[in-house]
Amino acid sequence: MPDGDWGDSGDSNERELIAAVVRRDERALKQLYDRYGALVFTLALRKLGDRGQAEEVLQDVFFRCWTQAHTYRAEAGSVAAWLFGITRNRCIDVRRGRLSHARERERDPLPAADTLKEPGQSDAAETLTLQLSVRAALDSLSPEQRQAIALAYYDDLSQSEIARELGEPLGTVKSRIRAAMERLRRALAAGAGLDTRDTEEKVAERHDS
Amino acid sequence: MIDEHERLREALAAEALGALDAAEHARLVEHLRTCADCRRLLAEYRDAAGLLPYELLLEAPPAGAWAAVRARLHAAEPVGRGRSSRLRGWLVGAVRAHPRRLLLAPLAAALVLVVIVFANRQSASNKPRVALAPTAAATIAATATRNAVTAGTPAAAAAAATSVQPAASAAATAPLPAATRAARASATPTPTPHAGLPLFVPHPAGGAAGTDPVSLDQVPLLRLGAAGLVLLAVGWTIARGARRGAARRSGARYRARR
Repeated sequence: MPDGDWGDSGDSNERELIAAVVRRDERALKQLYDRYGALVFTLALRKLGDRGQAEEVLQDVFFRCWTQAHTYRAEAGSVAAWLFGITRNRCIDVRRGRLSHARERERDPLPAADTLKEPGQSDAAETLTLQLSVRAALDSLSPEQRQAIALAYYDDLSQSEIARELGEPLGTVKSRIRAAMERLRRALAAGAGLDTRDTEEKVAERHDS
Repeated sequence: MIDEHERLREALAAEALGALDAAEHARLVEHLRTCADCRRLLAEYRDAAGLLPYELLLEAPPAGAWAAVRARLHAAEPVGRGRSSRLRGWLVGAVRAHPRRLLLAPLAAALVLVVIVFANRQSASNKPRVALAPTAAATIAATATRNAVTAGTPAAAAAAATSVQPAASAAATAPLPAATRAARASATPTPTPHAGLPLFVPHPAGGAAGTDPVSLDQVPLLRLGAAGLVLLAVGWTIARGARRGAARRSGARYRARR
């Protein structure tokens, strides 16, 4: 797959789901929930460390998806990126609501996964494929690169905050993040090619049955 | 300029993670406005960042979570499987998708209103110029429909479509070609104060001969024109509010991440 196609890899099927949500099709929202509910919940749990709050965020994300699907712009990124963006923002809101608790941030390296739980039914295979390719891509990064990305993505630190946190020069952190993201972009673009074919096959199957 | 582009291009990866410091983020947002190349690359980084949660060990959401989401949807607005609610959903969706196009709904409605009343009054007066009015009416209604349809504003489309029928049938019942020719032959456009509605201004002098055109036409037309303007203003305000609301909400979301 050529590099340039990656930009709209958020497959057209998902964009159709979003369009259906804009038209108030509840089943489309349920499909998105089946595909991304567990991921949104897991991400919120990773960021907040509290199941109750993570569920609150989960509900809110899909409620917002329902009311704000019309603000989704395919040219700005995939549906997944959009949903996780909402998730991250909601987590920040929740955290701000409990600033006084002075939460201790988790600084552990990202959990290595050797067991996989069942997310939905039909999307399980697709999720598994993505999990494997994302983990493979992350494995190709240095521990420092992974740490920098985790501090930014899960703990919402800015580059200067990361530099302060790690006691390293800002320039070092910047180039580390850039190199890591560039690597991920390329690796996942290659993986997404696989994934798109996978999805097309599935669509064809659905038409057959 | 090129240096700035190169420098900000290097900031795109961090931007996708939401890790840029405020000042640099502001400069990048400014640059993205004019640089499609950077916007495209940013979307790619965002897609890559959007895959990061897949590395996590998946936790199944609590069993009642979807039911709770559904309850919130239904509390926010009635959702049903009935035809009418689906139509309403579609209307709501269409308007939300293009709040700006809501502008065309009152515009079309106002035009249609003017056309209907004008056509009715003219056919009642049964003068040769009758033919001119319905023809114009049909044209306007058709234009309104076309506008509304391309705009995707269903309310306007429906309103315009229903109004085309009476206007068009009025045109059909009138002895169209002969009357139009007669009207055109004798037509001498008279300057009138309704500059806002020039389509209705020209009076065929022959048709107006027996009656007093000014007292007949001016007052209701003025009223209709005013009503149309009011409708337009209301529609504009609503569309603007919706747009601002949307901008504010997304802006707030964006800022919250800084």
